[in-house]
Amino acid sequence: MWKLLRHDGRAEVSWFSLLFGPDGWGGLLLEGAVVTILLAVITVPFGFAGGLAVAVMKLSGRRPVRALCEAYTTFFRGIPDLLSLFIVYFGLQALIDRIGGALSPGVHLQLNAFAAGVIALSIIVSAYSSEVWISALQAVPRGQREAARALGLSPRVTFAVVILPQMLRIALPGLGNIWMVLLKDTSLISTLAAMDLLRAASEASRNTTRPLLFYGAAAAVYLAISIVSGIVQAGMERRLDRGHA
Amino acid sequence: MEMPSRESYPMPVDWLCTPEASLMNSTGWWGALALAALLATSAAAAKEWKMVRLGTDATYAPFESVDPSGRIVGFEIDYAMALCAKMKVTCTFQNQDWDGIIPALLAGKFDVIFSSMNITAERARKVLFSDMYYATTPVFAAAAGNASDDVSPAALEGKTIGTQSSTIHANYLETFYENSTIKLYPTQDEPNLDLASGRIDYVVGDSLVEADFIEKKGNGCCRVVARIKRIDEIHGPGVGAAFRPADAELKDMFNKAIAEADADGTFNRLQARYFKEDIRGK
Repeated sequence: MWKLLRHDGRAEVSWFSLLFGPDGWGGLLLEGAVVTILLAVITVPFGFAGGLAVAVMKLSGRRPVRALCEAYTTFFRGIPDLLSLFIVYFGLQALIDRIGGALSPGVHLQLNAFAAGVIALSIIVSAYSSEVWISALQAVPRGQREAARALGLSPRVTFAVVILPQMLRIALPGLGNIWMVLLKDTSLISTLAAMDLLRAASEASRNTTRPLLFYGAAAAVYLAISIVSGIVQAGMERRLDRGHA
Repeated sequence: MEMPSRESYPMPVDWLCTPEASLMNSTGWWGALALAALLATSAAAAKEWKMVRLGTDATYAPFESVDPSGRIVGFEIDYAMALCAKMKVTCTFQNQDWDGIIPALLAGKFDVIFSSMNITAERARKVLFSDMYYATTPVFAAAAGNASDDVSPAALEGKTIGTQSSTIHANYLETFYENSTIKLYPTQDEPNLDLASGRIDYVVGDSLVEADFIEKKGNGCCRVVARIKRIDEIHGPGVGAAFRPADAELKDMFNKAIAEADADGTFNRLQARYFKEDIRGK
């Protein structure tokens, strides 16, 4: 194997030791990957539950409620996700300070980049997933609900055991897509200097001037996470498809 | 084709007599709980400072950068920690990109900017500055093969010059090099890398940052071709720590510590670790 030589004749540090050596950046990349996964996993329940709530309000709420929900989804689907993050990180912080300062001076609530990321991404995912939930709600035949009612099931039980399982089956592919988008959107918090996977890779490439190596490594990790999510999603779809042709 | 309006859809969700109420109550409650858990509370005592959070843009070796373990390291970090020891306060550093560093300070993300920020009149309208604690010389760097040392605006007409945006260097270029193409980047590393790869002709930056880049990362790509004489209206007297206008007492604490670090040789000891030249600029 031939050795890469620098202009000044010194041997180039190997990619292996840059990643896994004692002064290697692999550890930081791994920590970054943990931050990325945590951010996505914590955001998902809020985002999807919020989206379902918005969907229900859009379909059954009173006119002003509906209008408000429409405005909300139009706004957050229409502006860049990065801008939503900035609105939360800088804008919401200013709002918290103003309200908090009036209510209890001395106590100071501080949104860090991660918390801002969870809030902003939840808002974005809610907006996107509400459309998926709406089509899933509408796809469950009306007769299902009427039959459940005829059996004397309460509205709440009807929703939990009759409607929701059928809805999930229809919504899952769409929600899976949104999960993939969310996974990649987590990289936006790197702009707030949070040490996620992308930021760790750019720190490493900045310090070593080896962008191809470290951005490539980050791409490999993102790809691995996506592939694993795809496998999990396929398994969930298979399970929800039981009994369907 | 005209889409049906939402009102004309069948209403499949009247099975929830009070749908919003039940759903919203549960998610609203969980949301509030999560919000409370996620908001990192910082007990920033208004008057008595025990904890001071410092914000820095750690992309500026050898002054502040991130090491492979993810820690922020560099001359300014060591210096700030020495000042904090003198003030008997606990200091923490957090990373903040340069272009948002003043808004982040004003929004309370941290209490002090300690990030090689030069004291300028424009910035002093928004923030409070400590006394100057170091001053260096800005320089022009060019490709190693560029034999000319002439960096007058006439000589650089039509050339592309890169530097970090929102800096004294950017102001300097915009004031004097209007016939050159000025390219502004979020960090100083990016113009340096672009110079190394031949995308731009010149970089303006801090002499020590450029020297660090050329020696450690530049791989012999480039050389410093000229030093720039500091102009007071553009470059100011040197680098200072920046505070929110309301935190004058914190500024006074830092000024006292800066004076102590000069008097007892702390500054000289620390700068000898990093630099061959004196950067105190006094």
